[in-house]
Amino acid sequence: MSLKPSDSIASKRIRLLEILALSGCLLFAAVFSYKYLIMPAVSPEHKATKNSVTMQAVEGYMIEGSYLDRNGSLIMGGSAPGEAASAAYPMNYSYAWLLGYYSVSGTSENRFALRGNLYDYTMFTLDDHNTGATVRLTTENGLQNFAYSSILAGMEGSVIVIDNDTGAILCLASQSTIDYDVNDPNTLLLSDVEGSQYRRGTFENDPPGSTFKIITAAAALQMQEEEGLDDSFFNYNDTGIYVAEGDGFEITNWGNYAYGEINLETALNNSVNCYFANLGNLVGKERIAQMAENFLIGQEIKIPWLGTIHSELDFGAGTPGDIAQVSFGQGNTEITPLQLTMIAQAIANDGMMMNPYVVESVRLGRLPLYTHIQHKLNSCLSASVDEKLKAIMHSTAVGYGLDENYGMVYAKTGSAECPDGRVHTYIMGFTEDASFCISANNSDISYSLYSYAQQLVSYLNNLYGR
Amino acid sequence: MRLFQKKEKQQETPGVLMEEETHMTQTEPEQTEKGSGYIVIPILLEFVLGAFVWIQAPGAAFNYLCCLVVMLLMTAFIGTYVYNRDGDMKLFAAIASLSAIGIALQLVIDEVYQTFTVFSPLKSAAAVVIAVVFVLLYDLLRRLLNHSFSIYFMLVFSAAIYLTLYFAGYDPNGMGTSAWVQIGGMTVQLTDFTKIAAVMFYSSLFSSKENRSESSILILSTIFFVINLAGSVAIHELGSFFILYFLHISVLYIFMEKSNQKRNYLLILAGVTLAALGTCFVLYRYLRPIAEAGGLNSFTSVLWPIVRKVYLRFSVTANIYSDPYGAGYQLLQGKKALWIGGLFGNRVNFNAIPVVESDMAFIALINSFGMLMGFLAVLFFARIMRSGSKLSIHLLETSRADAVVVYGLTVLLFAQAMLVILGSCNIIPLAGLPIPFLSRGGTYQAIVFSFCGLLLHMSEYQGNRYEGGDEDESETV
Repeated sequence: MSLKPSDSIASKRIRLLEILALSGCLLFAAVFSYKYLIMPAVSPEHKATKNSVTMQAVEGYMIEGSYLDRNGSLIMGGSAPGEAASAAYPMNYSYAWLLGYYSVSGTSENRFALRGNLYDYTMFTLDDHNTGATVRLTTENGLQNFAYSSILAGMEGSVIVIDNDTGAILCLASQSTIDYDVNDPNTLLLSDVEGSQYRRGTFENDPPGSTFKIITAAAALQMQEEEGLDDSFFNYNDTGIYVAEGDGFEITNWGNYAYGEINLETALNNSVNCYFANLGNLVGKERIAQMAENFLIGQEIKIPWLGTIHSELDFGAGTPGDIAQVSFGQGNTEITPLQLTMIAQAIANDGMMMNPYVVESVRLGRLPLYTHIQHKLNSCLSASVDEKLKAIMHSTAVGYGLDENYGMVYAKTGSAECPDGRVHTYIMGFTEDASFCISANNSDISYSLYSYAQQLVSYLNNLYGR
Repeated sequence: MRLFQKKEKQQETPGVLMEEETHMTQTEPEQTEKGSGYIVIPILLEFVLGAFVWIQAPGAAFNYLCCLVVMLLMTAFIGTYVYNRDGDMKLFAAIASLSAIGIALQLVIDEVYQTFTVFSPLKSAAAVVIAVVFVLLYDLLRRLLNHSFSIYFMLVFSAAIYLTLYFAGYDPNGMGTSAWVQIGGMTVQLTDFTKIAAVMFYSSLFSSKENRSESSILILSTIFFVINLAGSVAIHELGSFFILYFLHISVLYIFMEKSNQKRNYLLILAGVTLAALGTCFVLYRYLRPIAEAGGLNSFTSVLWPIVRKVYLRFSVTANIYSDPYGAGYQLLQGKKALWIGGLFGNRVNFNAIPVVESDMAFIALINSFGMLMGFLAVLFFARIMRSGSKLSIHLLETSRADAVVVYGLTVLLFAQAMLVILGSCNIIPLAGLPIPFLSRGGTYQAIVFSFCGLLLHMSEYQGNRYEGGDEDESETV
């Protein structure tokens, strides 16, 4: 049956209105998807707007989720509805740089560290009692407080401890130019000190100093193994001065000492710059670069929920002089204290570098929202090279006073002359259970860190029941 | 020839029937096979909604579980019925899905939000029964629509509704709208019946049995329009009139012959509407100080609530922050919910949305179940629009009156849904109306289910249920 002309027009008009209606629906869905779903996912400003609206809506009744340490002890939390969570003394200071803060207003967010990255769980995922999810960290409250109060004790720097087998961060204490109290973010936010939002340990990129000699030593040991060289390869007559081929710059040892006939072990024990400058040129840029790459130097490493750490390996023009500088840890090479701890952890763990992590899990009541899965980052060393390196590092540690009374301890210090005139000192090492790095910004000499390392190792031995 | 006509032939010439039925089995199965899968959509959705309810409001999960049993049975039974009668299964899927979304949402609303009333699944079941009765009675009603007296009856019927509401209506919500009457222990929103009257009126007006002139169509429809306008103003219920206004314009635009007279009429109507809105804004400026000083006279005191309502609705839409704790509060809370809702609903227990059970049901849907479910609901409304339009076009071949009925029902469902959805999202001025399927309200649910039942009924046998059209009043199945 065909339509009458008038009905034919009517059918066209119905179709027209139908198309308009369906187009309207599509437009509605498209605009709302764009505004409320897509933009908040891709644009920080829109995300901030969404968070600002959410915060306004919930701030009257929301209870920020708690942060617990590895034993389930409270670090921060216990807030009342409408009030920010707080930490008891001394954790309000010892954890301040690790926990950070979160605030949002309009289209701008102020966020830092764990609270700044986990707010979606701790503030915007609420249970029936309007309490946010609970975050369990890998840290240990006693160790964190000890590191902050007894080791750093006002000194600018950081103390990092990582479990050898898992990569769990047991301690990440930091002390900066600002005495940051996590209960009062204004202590940090209102600071006019340049670069005040600066968590030492993860953000502090400085030359590694003599700690880099471990990399050079590992590259040399690897070369010896691969090329079947005998131990005489490591013999060297140190005159206290090294001048690289084609370079007029003289490299000297600390205190202008000259050590005479030495090998790799005595060179590392005494941190002989000239020896490693020479060894670096013998091993070559490629092998050192390869070993540094094995330890992920020059690569970005993501620490879940905490951030990304950066480092840089810089051979400059690649001249013998540049290679010599890099080989004993000077020049433009930059590493963070956390990565130095990771290097120690890899050596301790038979050459296997684990991904460090600080957030163990996030749960809303019994509902798991996030659980960390341990995984390795890289296999850095062969077993035989690792054993030789451990032996040398142990004898070095004994030289620092970390003798048998402390159990088996392996360590290396480093002092770096920074471009701005600071001297940055480190002591990195490991026990049979955990790896550590104590970093002191603007300190005179790495000797001063020996006693801190001894205290820390004692604490770790006690913690692990040794 | 269609199935229902073959049944008649069966009695006359069984031999011929056998031959034709064989033909049917060769050509029809492809179409029926296509439709059978659509019954799965609402069934799956009913289970998915169960998961949403359990996550968002565990306290409502048991009630939903009880409803789920009934919903599954009804979906299976009605779906099979529509399928067996070669009805529009896509339309059925959309209707059943929206019904399920509405029930799940209302149960969550009772658990999570502050509401004045409690959702009753029993009322929903009663609404389905009323819809079935309405559909059964429609065949009788349809015959009456072809008589000219039905036009005048609908005019009088609509006027009677408004007069009843004006003298006996009351306002249970305290919103200033007297759209309800109390019958025994029941509260009935009479304005919803004006929508049925409107569909029947326009159907009768365009029945091909009466060849009315353009002038008479315009005069009669204008009288009907004015009755609704005057009645709506008298009881302060502009929301329903908004829908009827849209129906009036679109029906005349579609079903009247193309002519200068019609064009001029529609243009004048649009112009008068704009002028009325402008007048409201001017009057608001003029009357506001008088009202604040308590100096309104008997005439302006009738005018002032309407003027104020219109002005506030538009001004708040233009700037939601113009009155954040007054007229804009509801929309502002809705806007927050849109931001917070995300893909699968909010996780921060945000529930401070006024009138979630009715006007703001779509916002509650997004807030509780997420943007995805909101879009799904819009998709189902679009499906109703598409199916209704298709059916209306198909019915033009046989009966203009049926085509108008189907178009009217479709528009009333779709337009009301989208006007309130867009209004609650602050895209257009918010009309205080329930959203079909999503909002609660016994009377409106009964009306919505009746409309849907009728649409499905008329889609039976691929839209050829009333093949005889206007000319053959007796030929129905």
